[in-house]
Amino acid sequence: MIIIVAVLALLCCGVRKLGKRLQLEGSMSLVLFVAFLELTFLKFPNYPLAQTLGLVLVTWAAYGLTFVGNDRIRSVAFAVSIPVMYVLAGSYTTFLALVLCLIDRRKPVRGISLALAGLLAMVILGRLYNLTFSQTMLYPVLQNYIVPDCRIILLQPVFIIISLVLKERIWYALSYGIISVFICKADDRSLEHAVKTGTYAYQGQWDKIRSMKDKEITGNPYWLYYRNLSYAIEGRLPDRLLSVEQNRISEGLFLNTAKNSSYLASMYNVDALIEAGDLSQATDCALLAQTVLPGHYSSRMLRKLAEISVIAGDYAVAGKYLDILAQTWGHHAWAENMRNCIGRDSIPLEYLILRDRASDSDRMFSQYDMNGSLNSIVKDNPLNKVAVDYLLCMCLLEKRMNSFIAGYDRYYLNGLDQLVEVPALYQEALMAPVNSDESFRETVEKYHLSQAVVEKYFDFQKARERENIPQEYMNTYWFYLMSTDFSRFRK
Amino acid sequence: MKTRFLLAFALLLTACKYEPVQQDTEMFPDYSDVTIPCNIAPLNFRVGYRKVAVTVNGANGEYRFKGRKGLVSFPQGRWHRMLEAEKGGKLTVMVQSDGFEREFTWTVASDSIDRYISYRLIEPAYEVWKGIQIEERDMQGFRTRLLGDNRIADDCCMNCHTSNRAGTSFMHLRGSEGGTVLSRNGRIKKLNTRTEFTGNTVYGDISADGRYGVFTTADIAFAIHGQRNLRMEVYDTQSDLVVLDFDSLTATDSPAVRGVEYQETFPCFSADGKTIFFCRARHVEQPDSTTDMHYDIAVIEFDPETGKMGDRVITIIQAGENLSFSHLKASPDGHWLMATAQQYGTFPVWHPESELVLVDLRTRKTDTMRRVNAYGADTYHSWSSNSRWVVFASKRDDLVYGRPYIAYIGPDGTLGKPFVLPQKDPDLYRTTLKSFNIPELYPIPETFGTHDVASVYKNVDACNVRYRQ
Repeated sequence: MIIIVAVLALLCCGVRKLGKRLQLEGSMSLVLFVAFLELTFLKFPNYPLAQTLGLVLVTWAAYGLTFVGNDRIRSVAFAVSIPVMYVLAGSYTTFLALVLCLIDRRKPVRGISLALAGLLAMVILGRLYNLTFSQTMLYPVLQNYIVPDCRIILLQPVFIIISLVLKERIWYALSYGIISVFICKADDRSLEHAVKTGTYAYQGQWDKIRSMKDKEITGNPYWLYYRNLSYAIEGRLPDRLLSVEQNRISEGLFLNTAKNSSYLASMYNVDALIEAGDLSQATDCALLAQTVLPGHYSSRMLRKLAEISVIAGDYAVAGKYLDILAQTWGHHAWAENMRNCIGRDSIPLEYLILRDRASDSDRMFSQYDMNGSLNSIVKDNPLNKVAVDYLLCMCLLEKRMNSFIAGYDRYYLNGLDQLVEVPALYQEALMAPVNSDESFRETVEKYHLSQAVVEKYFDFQKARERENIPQEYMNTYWFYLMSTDFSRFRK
Repeated sequence: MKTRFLLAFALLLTACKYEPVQQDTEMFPDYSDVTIPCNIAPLNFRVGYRKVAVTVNGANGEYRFKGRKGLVSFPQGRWHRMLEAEKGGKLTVMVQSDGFEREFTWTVASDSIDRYISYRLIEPAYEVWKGIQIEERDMQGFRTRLLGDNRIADDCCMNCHTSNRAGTSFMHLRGSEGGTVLSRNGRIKKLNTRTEFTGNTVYGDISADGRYGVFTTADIAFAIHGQRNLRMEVYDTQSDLVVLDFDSLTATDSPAVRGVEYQETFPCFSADGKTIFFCRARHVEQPDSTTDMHYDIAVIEFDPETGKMGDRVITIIQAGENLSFSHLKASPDGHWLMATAQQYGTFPVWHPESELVLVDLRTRKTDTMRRVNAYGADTYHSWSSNSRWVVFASKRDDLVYGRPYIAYIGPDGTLGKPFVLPQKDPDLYRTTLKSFNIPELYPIPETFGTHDVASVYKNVDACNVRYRQ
């Protein structure tokens, strides 16, 4: 925030001085307008601060240009500064061309000719960098990433020139009006909430995720995923699974990273894959996120890739990412520490625990086949409770009862049930398919189902016959099975 | 006031850069005791972050160079004069820095390497294509030129670029407007290589005269490995061979390399153009039995006059258990066939155990190339036109990102220690997140650029290849 304020202050100061030098009326309004618009752009996570810095540089360069009194020298200075400015400041170099027109407004033909020559030089430079025309005029903003459309940055120079030339306050008002409408239309709160959720998860602040407000959850596809992950890490996923609406079925457990999904999905999906022990897909997902992110770079993903490599014991791979991270401000200390850990062969315990969850034997499965992946992991390590719970919960949410019972028999019965208390959800699910007294008795005996669950089952059946199911049964698996309307589930 | 603002601005700018960390004083890249072509670009390297002095002693003189902040960057003019003077000889190189001293040799081969190399720059997440570039690099210096960049071609996948036999080269573009871009004698066109009887072309090779291309028509799929150290497995669900005649734009195949019983892939022409080498395995269901796919090396006759393949396949090297061959490339002098060998399957890029093998076509003896191979996927090799040099992609440094390595192969099969393609700033290899993929050597530069490819992709209709009985 401090940096943004400092950059905007530099920008305002430059615009104010430029306005005065150009003897423009209402230059203060212009200052406010430019700052307001730039601040609006900066709201978007994909609008680089470098773009604003570019505008600052161009503004001060334009201010410098106004001190050149001799027309010829100014033309030469302009010609020299265009390529330099374009390399340093990108598309806002157009602003410099506009200012030149204003300086030479008494000789408009010369000014406009020079400005057009400058724009042509930009296009040629863009060509040298293998950019298309639109890429040239927007550089360094990346197409398809700024919300809603990166071409809006062209509003800045267009409005400025209209305002400066016509000197009519009505244009300021019109500009402010359009920008306000734009802010209202483009304000994407759900994206901000999605980023907020991901940031909490990155910092391990699971409590904050669980306590996010309804308005932050609505339209935020990542909250449910991270909320479920937070309980999975604690081993309480089945206990808490149906206490909220799970209407996105497996999207609440693993995110959809198929083509055309958001890059946030690829970034965030890595976390659950690591916890479950699927390091191959976690790596793939992190590399995918890195590939589709603006600028093809994310230090967060690099750190994830380094962590995955350390967990997998691939220290040569980890070294590559740690070398890069060690050159960043935010991850320098962590990377150095991790390098020392690898050097001393004292890998942090949490990574060794995650390593134990991963598979040592090789089975192949199709990409996005989480069922195949989880089966592969738990076959190798049946005590990997996170993976077992993810596998069984996935079966339950998708109402695949046979797969659930097969999985339960293999991993919980005489296995995990000796170590942990069997979650009520699983007990409810085991009773769900029974259709006779005999099979009911067999099920209760075979799985040692608790008396409380059995009684609750009978009460639920009675309530169901009365067609009046009380609130307390709405987070049971029996209700989930019979219900297709999830709207009654609430956090 | 002005000064304060300028100072604040300067501070902001400098805050964006973080000084590199002090790292170990190993030489990076390791250029010790290597055999180098007499026309290679300067072997710039780094030793820590302090002053470096390099003294090179050869039969014809002593050459002194200095490095700043650990980076030894040889002036190109002096470097090439030194190589020219010491061609065919051995150089003793002494590197001295604060607390570091090392002596090694460079053998300057009198055989030059092809002047140009192309490679694909790609991030190793191969299911999404963003920012794929195919770059051409001048081996004598560091100048590069883009042959393809999918950012200006709707992010389409750009596959291998095979260059450049007698003025003919090709690259595949996927996507809605995709096709095979064929460059012949300075003109490029887009081909639709699918015919009513044969599928889209994938991996391929061009005959020495540039008239024919032999390709596999594979349906490619991939699966994920469950084991924690492995990643993905790319496999063909079916594959056959097809020959394209670039003069008449026709496709032919043969019953011997068609059908579902066997899968054929990675074909290449022999030096005389009368034989096609390829990899072949009996079809099994995949991915369940991918580990049972073991590709042999086989041959089929080819008649350059008629453009037809023979009707008999002969297996010349059987793979057996725990071995599978891929990426066949015959040397232009007809002496050698180089292949990649891995445990199973057809896509060695993700097999860290994959290694290069050299087959003497005169004696059928194979050399496992121990001096050249290292753990970490050595694949995608390409011969220099004088058959003395081979470039290949290797992931030996970090197991994820491929880098182009160059190795010397003597007339008798003597192998030189491989070295990574020199860069102006060798730190590029440490910081880049792109893989150097599918390196190809060729003596004359391509005549097209990335905008030509983008234009062909977007604006030119594909010429349909006809099937010829």
